[in-house]
Amino acid sequence: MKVLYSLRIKIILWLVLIITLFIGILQAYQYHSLKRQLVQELNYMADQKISRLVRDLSLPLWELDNGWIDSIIETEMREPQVQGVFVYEEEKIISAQKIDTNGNKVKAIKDHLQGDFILRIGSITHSGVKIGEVKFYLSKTLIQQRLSEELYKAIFFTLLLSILVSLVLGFMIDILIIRPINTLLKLTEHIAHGDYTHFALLSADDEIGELGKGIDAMKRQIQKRENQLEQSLEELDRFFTVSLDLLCIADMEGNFLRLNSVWSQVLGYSLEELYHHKFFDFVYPEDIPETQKAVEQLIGQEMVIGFVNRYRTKEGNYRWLEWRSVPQGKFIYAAAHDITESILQRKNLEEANETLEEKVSERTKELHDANQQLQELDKLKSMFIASMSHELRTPLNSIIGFTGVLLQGLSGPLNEKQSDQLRRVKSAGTHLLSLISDVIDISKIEAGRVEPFPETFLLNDLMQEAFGEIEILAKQKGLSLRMEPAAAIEMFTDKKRLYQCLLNYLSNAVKFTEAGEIVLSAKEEDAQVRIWVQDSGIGIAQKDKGKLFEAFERLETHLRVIPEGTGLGLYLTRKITESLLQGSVNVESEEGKGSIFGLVIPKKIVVEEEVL
Amino acid sequence: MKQPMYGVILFFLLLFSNSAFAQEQFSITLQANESTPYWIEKPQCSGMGCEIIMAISKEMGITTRIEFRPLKRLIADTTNNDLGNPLFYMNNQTFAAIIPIAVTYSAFFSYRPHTQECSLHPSANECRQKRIGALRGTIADTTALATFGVFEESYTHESLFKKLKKGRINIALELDLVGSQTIRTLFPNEVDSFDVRIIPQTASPIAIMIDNSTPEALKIGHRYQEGLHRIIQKGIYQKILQKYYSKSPIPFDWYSNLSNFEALYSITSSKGDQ
Repeated sequence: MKVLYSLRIKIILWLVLIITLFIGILQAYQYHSLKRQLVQELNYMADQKISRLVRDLSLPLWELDNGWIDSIIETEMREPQVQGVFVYEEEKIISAQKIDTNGNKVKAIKDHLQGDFILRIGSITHSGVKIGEVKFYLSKTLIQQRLSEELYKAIFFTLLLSILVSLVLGFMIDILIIRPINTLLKLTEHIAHGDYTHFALLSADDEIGELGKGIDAMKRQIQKRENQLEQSLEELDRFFTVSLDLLCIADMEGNFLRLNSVWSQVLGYSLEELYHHKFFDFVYPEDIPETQKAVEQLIGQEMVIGFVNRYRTKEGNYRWLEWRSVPQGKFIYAAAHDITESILQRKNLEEANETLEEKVSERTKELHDANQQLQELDKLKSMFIASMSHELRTPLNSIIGFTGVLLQGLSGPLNEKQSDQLRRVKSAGTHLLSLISDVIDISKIEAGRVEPFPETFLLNDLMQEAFGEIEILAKQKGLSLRMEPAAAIEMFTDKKRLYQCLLNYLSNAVKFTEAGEIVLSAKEEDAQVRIWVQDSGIGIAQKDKGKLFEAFERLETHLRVIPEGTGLGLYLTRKITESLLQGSVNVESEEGKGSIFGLVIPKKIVVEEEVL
Repeated sequence: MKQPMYGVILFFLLLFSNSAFAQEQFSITLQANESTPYWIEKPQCSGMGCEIIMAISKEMGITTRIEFRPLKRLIADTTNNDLGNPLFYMNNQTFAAIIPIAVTYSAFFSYRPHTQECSLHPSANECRQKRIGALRGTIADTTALATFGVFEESYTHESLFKKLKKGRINIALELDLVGSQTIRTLFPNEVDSFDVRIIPQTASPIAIMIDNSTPEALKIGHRYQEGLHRIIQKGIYQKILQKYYSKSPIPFDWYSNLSNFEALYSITSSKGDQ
């Protein structure tokens, strides 16, 4: 970097100028002060001398003593400033001396002096009477000479002092400022050439030292930014290369400044061909007005997102492009996605949709019809089951009843074998009746023929009742049965159905627990109540959990005694809970460790007209 | 009564001395203060006093050398031989012989045009009051003069008479010959315009005063006295007087006053004799 006008020279020149100006002003002030002082002194001297002359000449003039007067004049003329003394007696020169043009003292005849003088005229009196006058000329020549000398001195000292001060200051500035700045200048040259290996290395703790540190820090930042920039450019290039979209940088006039290769792939032109045209040249004529609007929006520094237009390919076709453009100053940064295929697919889809909707309507109608038929059939089925179950329960009750009579020996004694067979008949009948009862309940529920009968009661009372019902069975199996009563929870629901559900959970727990404990618990949760039965039974395998609440599902067990059951208990519990108690059932279980069966129901069920 | 008697005695003594010491040669140095027209130093000793002494010395064969000194030095020097008014010297010096050789008179000088003007216009400012001027130091007691008007001293003779002519003073008081000489020098064309009036009883002597320490002072004194008489007798003295009085008449009592002063400062007089 070549410096055209050195800072050193500039500073020194300015210093010389300023110091010269400053000292010059000072010297000029001193010069004028001296001039004023000298003129004042000369005037004072003139006043003093004229006063003294008037006083001294009074007697000699009265005495008309020319010798005396001459001696007084002679005495005055010894002063180098005195240019002439003229003593008048009745307007006639009685005695006078002056300095002639050659600088000699001569007797004066006429009062005629040329030059720059201070003139004083004094009246000479004696006893109050004017007897003559004296004219006294003081030359300003000496003042002018003195002033000239002072002027030369002032100029000389001004220049000398200016040069000396400037040299000293210049030297100091050179050391303190210029050299460090040159160091920094060289450093910046290195930085400008991309050489970041040099450092300022300034030890000064002043502003330049700080500047050096700042430049070092800036250099590090530049180096870092440059690396980042290179990385960014590489990334940009990479993105430009790998992008599947059409990327471009263009100016507001429509000139492409940078394009990626996707443009060639999509439109078929070479990049060179594209660079030689404005993007408007490729836009489908009908899309040009909208494209122009989008560009104006960008000129107004607004983003354009989702704008779609068509670009002509080299083959003469048009491709649909969806744009996302961002303005930045005079440039547009844009990415376009070729949505031609999507548009075509959408058109095809729209056409297919139109056909599909027609088909769906037809099928929906068919399904609706089928559904209605199924619902009717289901109702018929339920009604059939209900009717049939009722018809079956009546003879079963007779069978069970009479079997009991026979077993009690009311119809005569029975042998062991007969008794055993009758017990089997009764057991089978009882089981069948239970099964039929469950089937009837389920059928009624599914057929919507069962209505809830809500009543107000305390949950603890109900739990205690169920607990008492099952306690005997638990003790028979040696199980520990425990209830954790909840706070006094007032319920308004179908008490009988809830009791049925609790009893079902508890009997299941007793059935599938061989040892350990069964706990009945309840908890109030806002407007709902959570009731659960926890056992330490066999648990349920994960794969079987989905089957638990389905009808006629009996899971495999390793128990020595296979518990009795219809396979409808949990199914019925779920149906009652969901349909009548307006709640839900749940289960948590781990095989071999036990299960927790629970249900969550509202404290107060909603009884609607439709439901009723 | 005593003065004529002293004169006779002195006369005889002079006659005797002349005959007794006629053959002796004396050489003496006298000192004078320059005072025109009596004692003038340059180009050579001249003036009335010088001429009288030179005439006496020539007459008596005395080698006389006259040196000029300022008046104060003459008075201060108590061993020299002085020329002048004995009154100035006798207070602090003893002389073996005092030989009066001339007489001075004080005179009033006036400028006639002013006098005439004042006679015509007596009420004019410059005429309403007499202004008398004199040389500074020459009037010991001015009270008497103050009765005539305002007394004013001048520093030089020239100033005195210039002021007189200018009208700044009406009357100048000065020795008659001094004033006349000054007027002739300053105003040679207007000498006649000045009036001179000798004041009676103002005669003073001019004498040769030989110090007591001078060898054969008395003899020298006698020789000078004898020489004075001789030149008076020969008319040399008169010619000298006329030269200096010029057109003015020699005061009528000159010689009588001279005799009186001879008698007063007899050869044997000394300090304390007065």
